[in-house]
Amino acid sequence: MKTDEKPFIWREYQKEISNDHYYFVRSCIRQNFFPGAEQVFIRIMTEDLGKDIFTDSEHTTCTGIGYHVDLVKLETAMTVIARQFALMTQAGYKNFLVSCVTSFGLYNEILEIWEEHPEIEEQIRQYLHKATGRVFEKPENLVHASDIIYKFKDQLAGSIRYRLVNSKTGEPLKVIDHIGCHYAKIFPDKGIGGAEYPCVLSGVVEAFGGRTINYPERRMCCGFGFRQYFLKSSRGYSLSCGYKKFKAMESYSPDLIVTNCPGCNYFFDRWQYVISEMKGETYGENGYGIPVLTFEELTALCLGYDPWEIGLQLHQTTIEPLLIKMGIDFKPNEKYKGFSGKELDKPRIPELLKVY
Amino acid sequence: MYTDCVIIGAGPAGLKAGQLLHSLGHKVCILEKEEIPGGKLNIWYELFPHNESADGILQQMLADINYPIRTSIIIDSISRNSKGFLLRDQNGDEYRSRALLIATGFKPFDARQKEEYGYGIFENVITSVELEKMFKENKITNSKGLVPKRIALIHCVGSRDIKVGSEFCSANCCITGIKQAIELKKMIPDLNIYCLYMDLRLGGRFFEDCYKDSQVHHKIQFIRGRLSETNENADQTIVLRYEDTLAGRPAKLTADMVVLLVGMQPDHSILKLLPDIDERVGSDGFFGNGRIDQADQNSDNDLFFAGSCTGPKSIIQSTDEASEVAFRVNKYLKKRLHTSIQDQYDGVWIQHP
Repeated sequence: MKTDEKPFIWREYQKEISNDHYYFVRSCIRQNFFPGAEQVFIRIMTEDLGKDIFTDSEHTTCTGIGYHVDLVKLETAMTVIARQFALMTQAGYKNFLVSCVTSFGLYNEILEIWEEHPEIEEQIRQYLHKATGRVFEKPENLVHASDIIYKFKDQLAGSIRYRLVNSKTGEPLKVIDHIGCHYAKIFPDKGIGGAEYPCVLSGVVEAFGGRTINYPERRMCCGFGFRQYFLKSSRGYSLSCGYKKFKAMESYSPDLIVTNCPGCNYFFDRWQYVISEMKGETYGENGYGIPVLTFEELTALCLGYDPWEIGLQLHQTTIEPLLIKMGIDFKPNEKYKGFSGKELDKPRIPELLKVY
Repeated sequence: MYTDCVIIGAGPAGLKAGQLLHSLGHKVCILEKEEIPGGKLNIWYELFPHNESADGILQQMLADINYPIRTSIIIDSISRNSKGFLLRDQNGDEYRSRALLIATGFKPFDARQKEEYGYGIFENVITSVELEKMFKENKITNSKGLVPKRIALIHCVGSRDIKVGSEFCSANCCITGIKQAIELKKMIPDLNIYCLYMDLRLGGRFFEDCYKDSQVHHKIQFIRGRLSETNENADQTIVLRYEDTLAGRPAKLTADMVVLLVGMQPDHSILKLLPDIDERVGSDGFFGNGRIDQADQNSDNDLFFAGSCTGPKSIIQSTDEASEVAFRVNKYLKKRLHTSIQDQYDGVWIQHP
């Protein structure tokens, strides 16, 4: 793969990312799957970057999943999102920072609808006012959380404790970057690097010393695809997509998968166990899986945050092989201890996929 | 230099018009930005549909030339008054003429805009223009210097594609693809060739024969399917994903090399120098409006266009148009013959912008 042409190709995909003062909306599913990821993002923003980030207990789901599986009407989704904007307006913010890629796509989709059809926006304003008495301003800047890490990647790279290199060999770690479909495939100009070769994660990986892998299924969906997974009858599609991805990346011996989407992260993590049980195949070294991290978890690890404090024990595919490669100082015995120091229950050990 | 007509562009159209105007007794000068005359004829190896040598055709055209062709000329400015044109080049040389004929041709579509096809990203994705260079060097090899076993030719790259702002058909890529597929097969008999097309537009004379020949005698495989994206394998072979629209299903194909049949784009490099030209550029970006009923309306005008700068054309179509335009230039110049060239250049020059 040649990289000299990329600046030309990406010249139209330079995105405006505000510098400070963000109204943060969380992801529904991520708080359940990997709750440490969002929490550590807020810590990185405030403690490492010194930014003003407002988290609001009032905001709700964006309805994205319901909308994409045809359970929630578009008008309902728009009114709920109008309420989120009203909360932002009420809090005095203009920069809307989204944790979830599904939400990010939906916010952009609705803003685009309103741009094309001002009469629909007016109607939604009326619905919202009638239902809640609220009014709203549209965000001046709408970004995904991974955009922020990309924007400040060089600043963060200056203060990281662990680089994405093999501490024994000094070689860059081989990283699979997987971008959520709704990040840029709907609106290419809303993503850094466009839809085909978004660099929002690869840019961060390279800034931290790693090397991204270009592999044949790089742009393919992780398999979540709401209707694929949530409709039980088509769940096989979901798994087969994931299987294709793993088979395609296998020959490159990746050290790590990094994602910016809650669903992708979850499925890459969990499907490795399912595939090991169904096919007897594992894709990491020595029978382990390939560790899967969100971009915040990856950034936090590099910055020196304790892996258990940021919730990496909630990953089903064990991440210790990565910690060892990076030379991270961690305490294996504290993996399943709660904040109080009390030992929590340990998960059962699978038969095929090895865990520490 | 004083002339009756300056022609910008020494491609097939410029050379043909120059030859005719000269034979009709007019003083002609051709200005060419490249180091050698011939335009795109210098790129092509053989021409469709009869596989004539492009170089042979060019030499035939140049053999008749006995008027000046100035090469490596970059025009800095074009001024005009009611009586004619004044052109200045990068060396400060001036060219005055009663009429100006633009024959600047086209530029190939920049395939990097179709990012999903991987041109400029993957070593083994090349354009039809680059394949012609390989033909001329008589060496078809992939990035590793190996002779390919499977090649895919992708039709309509930068043509009929609203996504990249080129909604028109370039008219020549289908037959170019077929011509190149046959040439490839002749050079590498064991090669498997796949042409991925939307639909085949083979309106030219003998084009359909070529198409049939490619299937019957050369076993070229045609797949009706629009490429969605390419990916690179670890060994630098290319995976193509497309929808086979006849079979009605998505499909994958691995090829050692992918050739993108790039469309023809308007070349606007001369546009900024031409006074009041905007109104004479069509919605597709090419000069003129392509209307038959208005073709003669410019007979009192001193600015003419010929060749593929007025729309996608084959070489024979370009030279045909150049012949017709040369006669219109002749008609215009004859009206002006009562004044000497020298007297004509009095007056105020207006330079654009």
